[in-house]
Amino acid sequence: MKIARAKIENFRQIETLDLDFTDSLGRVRDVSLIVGPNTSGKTTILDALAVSIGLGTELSFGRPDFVISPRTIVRRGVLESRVTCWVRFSREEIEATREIIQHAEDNLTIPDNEEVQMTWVYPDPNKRSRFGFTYYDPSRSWPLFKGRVKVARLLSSRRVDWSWFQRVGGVFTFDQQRTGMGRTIPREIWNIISGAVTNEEPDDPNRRTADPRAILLSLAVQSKFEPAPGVIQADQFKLIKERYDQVCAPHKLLGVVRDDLGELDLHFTDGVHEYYYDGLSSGEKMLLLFLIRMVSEHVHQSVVLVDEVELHQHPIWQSRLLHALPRIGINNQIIATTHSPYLRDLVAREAIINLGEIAETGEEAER
Amino acid sequence: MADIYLVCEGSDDGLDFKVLNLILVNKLNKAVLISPAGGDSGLNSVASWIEAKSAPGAVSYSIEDRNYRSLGEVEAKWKAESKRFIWRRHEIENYLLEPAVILQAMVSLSQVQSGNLPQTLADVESVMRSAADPLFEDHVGQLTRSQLVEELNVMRLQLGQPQGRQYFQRQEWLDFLHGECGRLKNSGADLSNLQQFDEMAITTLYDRLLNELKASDFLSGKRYLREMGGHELMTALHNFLRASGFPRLSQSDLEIELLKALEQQYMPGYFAFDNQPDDFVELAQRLI
Repeated sequence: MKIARAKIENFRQIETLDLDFTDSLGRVRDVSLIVGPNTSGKTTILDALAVSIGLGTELSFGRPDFVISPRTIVRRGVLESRVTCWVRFSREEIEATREIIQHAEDNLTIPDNEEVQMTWVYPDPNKRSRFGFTYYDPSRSWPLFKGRVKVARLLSSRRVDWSWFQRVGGVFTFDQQRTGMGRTIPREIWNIISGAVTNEEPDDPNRRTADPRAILLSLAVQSKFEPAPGVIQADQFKLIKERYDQVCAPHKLLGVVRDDLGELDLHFTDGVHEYYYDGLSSGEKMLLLFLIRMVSEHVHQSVVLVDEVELHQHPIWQSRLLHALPRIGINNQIIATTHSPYLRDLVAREAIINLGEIAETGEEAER
Repeated sequence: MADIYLVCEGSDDGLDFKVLNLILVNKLNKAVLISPAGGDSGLNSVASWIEAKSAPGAVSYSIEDRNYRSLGEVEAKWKAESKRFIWRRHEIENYLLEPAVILQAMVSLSQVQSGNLPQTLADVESVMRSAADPLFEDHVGQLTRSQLVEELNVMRLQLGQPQGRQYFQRQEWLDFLHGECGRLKNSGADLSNLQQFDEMAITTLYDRLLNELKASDFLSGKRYLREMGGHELMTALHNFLRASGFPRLSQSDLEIELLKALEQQYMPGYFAFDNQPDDFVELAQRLI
């Protein structure tokens, strides 16, 4: 799914804002950048897009500290917020959603429309849901937003495999701390890496962790084994390593090593010196957090919302990251905020949503 | 590791900046900061200023458009052990106007809507030839002008500055100005006698260049795509597309489409031609 246009009304400090993410031929751009000074509403736009579409997907979509309440969403002095998005689906994604609905044995019909207008109103005018209400036009198009959650639910039944995530999309938000990551590590892998994992309870029965090092180690260990016959899943560690090496060159992620105590660690080089995970710069850590989540959560066909995409990155790495972003998954739409003039100059002028200059905010703007 | 800067022509979000970032930084993995000079002059001053204000050890290079300069002059610049380079093609647009790159962009555009677009390399070359034909005589005119400017440069028809000290006294200034003005007066006399500036000679020079280009592989061998004004050719391609079913296509979206196509096509050596190396590969090797 991709957002072609959006209209935000009475959402936090935004009174009315029209956004267009298409190029001069009406195609949705791979990358759109939202620029503007602090407090100009960049993150608010990401939140509005995330909540309006994300609620319909039934999957996690927003920043971890994003709270849905009238006080945090509805603009002062008005009764309701409203976000309208014109969301496009490719023919392939529509077909994939139809197939997954058949697999799920749901009795739903999906219209052929490749563009759906959806309007999220908060609070719910019917007072039925505490998360607001969403209208879809055409009205029967709402199952298009459920493809991904249905794949997730059907995975355990083995009626579908992981490759289905390449066919149906969702909404993913990357906040400034790049949190929101979490992964359940298989018991056998956990046992192998548990000595190397700090700040985690080794006998945690769920083995769910947000520790990027633990996740990366688990992926590295898993990549050492051949997949069972019939199992289709890309080598995620290899994908992360390739992207890391590309963005951070001449730095490289060499792989997983065992130290003198037998504990596993991740091994890096800057082209001259070698170092371990603890020696990573904040820029490298930020990038890895991003890559791990993009790869391990199978982010494809999705709207990817990134707050301050350049955080902690040298301009050369910013350039490479912006170049790599749309290529990390399949057919994603990247909408990112930035303060970086270097990034702003890299995209087409029309792909920039400019919320004004510093002098146009606050008291200056009111005058 | 010290920072490496490369000063290029154009504005902050210009095409030079985008192409250099795509090829040099992303495809060839060179850790270099691309710094547009904001225009097409003073690149060396900008490069020197960046070097002076940067951390110790920073190195700043520059690369400027060839425009109508001879290949010999360009090659001499590459051979010199200097930090200043000149593109071997006319300007940055000429690197996007490879027929295979254009064809790939056409394929992408035709997925949006059907239009009367070129479908083969031969079709693309035909379109670009049609775009180049009206520009051909202008190109020859610019080459002729360029050769005449070289004659003027030899004569040094500008008033110089006294050199060697921070400041000079009255008599030193007068001696210098008397000398310079005398030299210019003589140059003026020489100029009035310069045969190359006679009407007949200018016509002969223009026609000789015209015939040389016509007789060579300039048009048939696609040299025109490398040496004629890339900006003008790009505008002509844009006009062609607008008339071929894409009336709303903006020039910046056409550039982005060509950049995407170039990204898919490019591999080191892609721009090598005859005995000329790929400028980007050579640049990557020279930026140390």
